[in-house]
Amino acid sequence: MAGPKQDTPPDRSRPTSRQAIPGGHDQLDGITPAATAVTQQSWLASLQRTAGNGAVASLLAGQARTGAIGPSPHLQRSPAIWSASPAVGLVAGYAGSATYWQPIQTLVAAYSALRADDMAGRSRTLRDLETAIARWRAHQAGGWWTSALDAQKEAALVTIEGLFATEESEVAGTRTTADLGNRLATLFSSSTRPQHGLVVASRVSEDRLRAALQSPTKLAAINAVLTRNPSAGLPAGLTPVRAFLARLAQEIAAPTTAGVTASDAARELRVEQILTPPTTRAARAAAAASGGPAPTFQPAQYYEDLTTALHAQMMSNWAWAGPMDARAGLDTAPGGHVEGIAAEAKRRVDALYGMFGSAAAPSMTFSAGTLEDRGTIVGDPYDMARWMVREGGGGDAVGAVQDAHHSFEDATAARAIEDRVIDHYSNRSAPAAPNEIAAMTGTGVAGAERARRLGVIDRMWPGVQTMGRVSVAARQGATPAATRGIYWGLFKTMIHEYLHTTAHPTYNAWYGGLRDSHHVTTYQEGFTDLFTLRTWQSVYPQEIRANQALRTTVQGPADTAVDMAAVGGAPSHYPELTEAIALENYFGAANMKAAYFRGDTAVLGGGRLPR
Amino acid sequence: MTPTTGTEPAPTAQPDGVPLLLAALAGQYDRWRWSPGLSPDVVGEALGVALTPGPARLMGRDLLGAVTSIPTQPYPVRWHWQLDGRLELVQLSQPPAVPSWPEVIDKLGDPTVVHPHGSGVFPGSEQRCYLSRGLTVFDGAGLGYQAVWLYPPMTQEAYAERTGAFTTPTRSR
Repeated sequence: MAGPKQDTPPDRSRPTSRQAIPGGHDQLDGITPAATAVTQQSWLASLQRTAGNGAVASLLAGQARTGAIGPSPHLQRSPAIWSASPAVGLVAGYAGSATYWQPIQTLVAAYSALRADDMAGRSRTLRDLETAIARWRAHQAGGWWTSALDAQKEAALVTIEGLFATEESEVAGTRTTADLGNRLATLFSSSTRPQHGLVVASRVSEDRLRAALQSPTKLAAINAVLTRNPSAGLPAGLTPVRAFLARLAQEIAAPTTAGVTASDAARELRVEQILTPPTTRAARAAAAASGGPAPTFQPAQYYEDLTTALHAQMMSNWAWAGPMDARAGLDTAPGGHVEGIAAEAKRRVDALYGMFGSAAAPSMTFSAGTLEDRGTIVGDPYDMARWMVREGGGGDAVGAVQDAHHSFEDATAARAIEDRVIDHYSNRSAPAAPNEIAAMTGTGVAGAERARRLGVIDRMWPGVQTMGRVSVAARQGATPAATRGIYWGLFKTMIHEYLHTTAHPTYNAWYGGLRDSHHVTTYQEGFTDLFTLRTWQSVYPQEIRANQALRTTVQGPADTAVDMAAVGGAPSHYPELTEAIALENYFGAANMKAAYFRGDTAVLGGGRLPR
Repeated sequence: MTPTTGTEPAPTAQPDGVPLLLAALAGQYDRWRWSPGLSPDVVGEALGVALTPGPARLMGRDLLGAVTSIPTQPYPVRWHWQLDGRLELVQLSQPPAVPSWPEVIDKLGDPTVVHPHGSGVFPGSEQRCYLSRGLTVFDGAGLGYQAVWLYPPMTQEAYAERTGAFTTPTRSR
């Protein structure tokens, strides 16, 4: 099924299955059996034992994340679990001074009595307890000798502190990003236990950590925790988060150079391999295995097959676009609701990519023309058809025809036929050849009507970016609940389209010179989808749950509900996201950002691609 | 893209750009001549609207942008100015022509260059560029005249680098 796959109106066409994201949504919160040497089944059983059925149910029901360094923040701890620890009983049983020891006892007991959902109370009590323990230790340090009881107390407190990090991780999931960043900075710099901050950070996804910590104001704290936790001797479980924080510190200190590496012959070759479509690779491999000739472009019937597929794609989009066109608009007044969502999208993108170049892009506003309601435009039938053939066909009927005819093997010849299909189908010009007339007639819809429908689909398309202008379809849903979902869809769409406005002109011109549409789409949309996904993961789900201001910005000031069903999952994406992730895994995100935001295309290694 | 080149009349200097701007906005595109004085204030006063241009970016250059609706054009008119207030680009969508498109096209004469359709900001349109006038007609054949752009006189290279005419729309999926 073709069409816009943003999580917006429920009556829009949607993908029948989510595209697989390597290392992403199809994994269990970033924890793979291969990575952990634990099977999913046994891991879940373990989770059930330690955290209970509720945690398992929540985990299975929730959306998984990409980029998690450690276990999931969905893992549900509670004060009840804390209270079952033997150390809690030991602390309660030891006698001590009213000034130094008894406050600890009071706080340990108080924590046990807190409700699981009292995150503010849990956070406050943990902080107070940490302070009380520090005071007790400072007092002990001033004494002449240490009794056996003091040693027992210390042992119990060490165990209690071991529980801290797990509890902190749970609480961290309910903090806003700003609070999380401040809390981590405090832990990094001044927690009495050097590993405390690392343990908490290890439970947070990389993208959320970036959003919380990627600032020059946090650099000193990050460097402090790195200094306090040398690589040598660090528990294996904390090694990944330490490596990430070390990389983050380098990027904060030198955002335009850290991790940026020159291309070479090996990179050129590998990039070319990665950017060969999977279907093409499979066809070539099959031909080689059978000893047959290598696949070649098959022009016969390409025009006819493509026309049929394009028509099917248009009709599936018409099914949602027509009704949507009749609905009332949203608040697109300057400074109004939709513009507020745009500002939030920019803020979230810039938190991750601002220091690499995105922040220089202007805000999206209706008055300046950097934001547009697609309901106010005329609609472009040709561009809609062009997109369906050139960029949007992957995974759909058009893409299947292109694969079947091996269009990748001769982009120039395939493009010549595709150009005629686009021209004729959009009614820019009439076909002249008998077979082409027959194919267009076979759609059963006259050219003028096809053009009209394509124009409406274009006007109702969720998001388009042209010349630095983000253009979004801002129509109400059929129900208030659907409209709430549309607002979250707009938020996701604006993240994606705003990112396009931040792409460097040199980068755009570079990929625009590539001949094959799969290559172009990988750089144009795959990279943008990857940055979109990272941005989304920096807020989903914890920030959305924790930050009421964010929710009211997106949903409207009168709507404070936490409705994760309306929020939906990760933004839909082009199939070429897979290639973008493969490139990121191969030569690193720093090189992608150098090219995309700063126009340093030489690091990409696409010099061998056909132009 | 293989553009074809032609000839066009040399532009004449215009002391006051406002009447010619208003004529162009009313569909007499053959009368358009760019003037350095067409600042946001001057244009706003001429149109009888309060223009409040905000930050915009085009082809990596920081500009000012604004959008207005005017009676003579069926769709919102998009404006870009340089930061010093000089008019950079006016975009008209699906514009009518006065007295008619064939007559306006005839009066415009041969364009400086024609870029074939298939790519660019309106990929369904060939771009008929009258560069010394500072005007492009986006001719979509069976789709009609999709747009008219007004800008300062410029070279072909500057047209590509400054206006964004050859950038392709991107879409969410």
